[in-house]
Amino acid sequence: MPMPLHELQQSFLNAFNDDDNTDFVDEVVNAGTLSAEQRLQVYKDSITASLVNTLAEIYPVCLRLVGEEYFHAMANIYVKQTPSYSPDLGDYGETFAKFIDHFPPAQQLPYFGDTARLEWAWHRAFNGPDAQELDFTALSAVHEKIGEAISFTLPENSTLLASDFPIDRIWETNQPNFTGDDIVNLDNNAVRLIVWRKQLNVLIEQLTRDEWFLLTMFANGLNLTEVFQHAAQHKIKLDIVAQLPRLAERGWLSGFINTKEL
Amino acid sequence: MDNNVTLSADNIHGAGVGLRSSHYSYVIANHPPVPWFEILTDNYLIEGGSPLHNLMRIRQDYPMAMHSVGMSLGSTDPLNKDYLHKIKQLADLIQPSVISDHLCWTSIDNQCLHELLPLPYTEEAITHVVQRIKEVQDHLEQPILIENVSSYLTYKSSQINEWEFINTIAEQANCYILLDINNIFVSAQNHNFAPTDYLQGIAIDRVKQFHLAGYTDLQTHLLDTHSDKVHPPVWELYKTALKRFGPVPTLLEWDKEIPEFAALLQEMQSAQHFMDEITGAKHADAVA
Repeated sequence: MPMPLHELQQSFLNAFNDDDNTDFVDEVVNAGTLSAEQRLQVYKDSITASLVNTLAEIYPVCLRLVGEEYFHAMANIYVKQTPSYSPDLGDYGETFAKFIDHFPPAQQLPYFGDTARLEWAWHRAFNGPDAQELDFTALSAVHEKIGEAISFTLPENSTLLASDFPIDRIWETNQPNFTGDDIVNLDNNAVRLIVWRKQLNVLIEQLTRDEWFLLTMFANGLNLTEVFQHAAQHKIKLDIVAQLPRLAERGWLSGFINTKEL
Repeated sequence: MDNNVTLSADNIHGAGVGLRSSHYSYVIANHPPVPWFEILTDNYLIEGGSPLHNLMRIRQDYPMAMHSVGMSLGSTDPLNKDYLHKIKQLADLIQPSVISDHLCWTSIDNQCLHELLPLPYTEEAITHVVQRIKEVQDHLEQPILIENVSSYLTYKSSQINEWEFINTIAEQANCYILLDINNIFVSAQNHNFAPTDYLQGIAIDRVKQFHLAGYTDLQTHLLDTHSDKVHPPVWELYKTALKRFGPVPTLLEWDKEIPEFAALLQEMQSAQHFMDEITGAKHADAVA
């Protein structure tokens, strides 16, 4: 009796995930220039290479920072630990930054993980759906009606990212077309960033303390009343009336929510 | 699916090339004389963004075929309806001449392997794949083309040849075949069969598209890398295929170490030359 198709496919998965090759190899014709085991290995190598290459495409700055050999060795370990669950290869590698944070050989590069976070944010913004533009007329009408129960949404696939290191500058100086001074001062250069896409252009923009505060509040679903309370509790002086139009003008607010209706 | 639904493959003629992101700006700026493009469907399943924007610009001027890698037609997992839904949305948007994927499996237990894994050529696999193709065609509301993959292993349990397998499935599922000439050659070398036997075994009326590409010779086996010009023996096999199947729309694929667009055009023109010479087909009018 031939092995049922489902079992055959599971035996391949066992071979790939756990190097438990026996059951699958027993099903493979052992003839010609390659053994059954070698034939299986062609596929295992190809799957790994495809995922490693995907990481190299999504994280080109990380690759440049450590070189091909280091990057590929690290990516191979990540791939072994991290299955893909989406048919879209562009979804693969979201947890790579976290992996880097805990990858012992990477500890000498304290900015490495955050650089990976920035690259993932860039990748998601580039490949994400188009962001809506804020409808000021509708906003004005709703705001009049519900006042401070209003909250705001950020552009779809935007990311707020804070780092102790100037990762925006690290990213910039490692672009293939970069010319100029590539010295990056790592000390006292913490950044707060928003990564988003304005029409077709992905932007990495620095935020002030107040902009960061407001955008993180909105990203967490807080309405204006709650933002005021939070600011008061933490003794943060902030001119929300002046800040809001500025955030909207920059394109960092793409919609609004009536939190009374939630 | 309604058996009377016909394929709009008649919208594509002659030799086309695969559209790749590194050529967007060249194609938009220079409007090269390409009769049609095939797109990698999986790159455009997002509502918006630069890839879709470029695609829509290019679609205005060229017929297109959609070619995906993620349907996982041979998997024993449930079909990924979300993925199919996205393909349908894109198809509604760009109105492709044909939609194709591969006769293989790429996922199991929800894990995506991103590799075109071969199936055993068994009754069980035929019944299983036919049912899934029917479901896919119902969802997409049109017939699909299934492509033969390059393979590096075969199974002891196979009861028939690969060409009998693909023929039977196409017949029973009422779908069509995208015959990859390079893949036939690669598999023939890797499994020691005559590639012409493969061509002879395929039903003429089911074949609606050819693929051509370059492989890599690793000495122990050939690897389907799409990283080179079409190799001479594949051109010879292509000529044999043209004699048997006629002027089937032919697509030149190049996915790694992608050259300047001019190199692709040259390969495309070679394919067109053989098509004209062997089938006597009139050179397809370029849209540009």
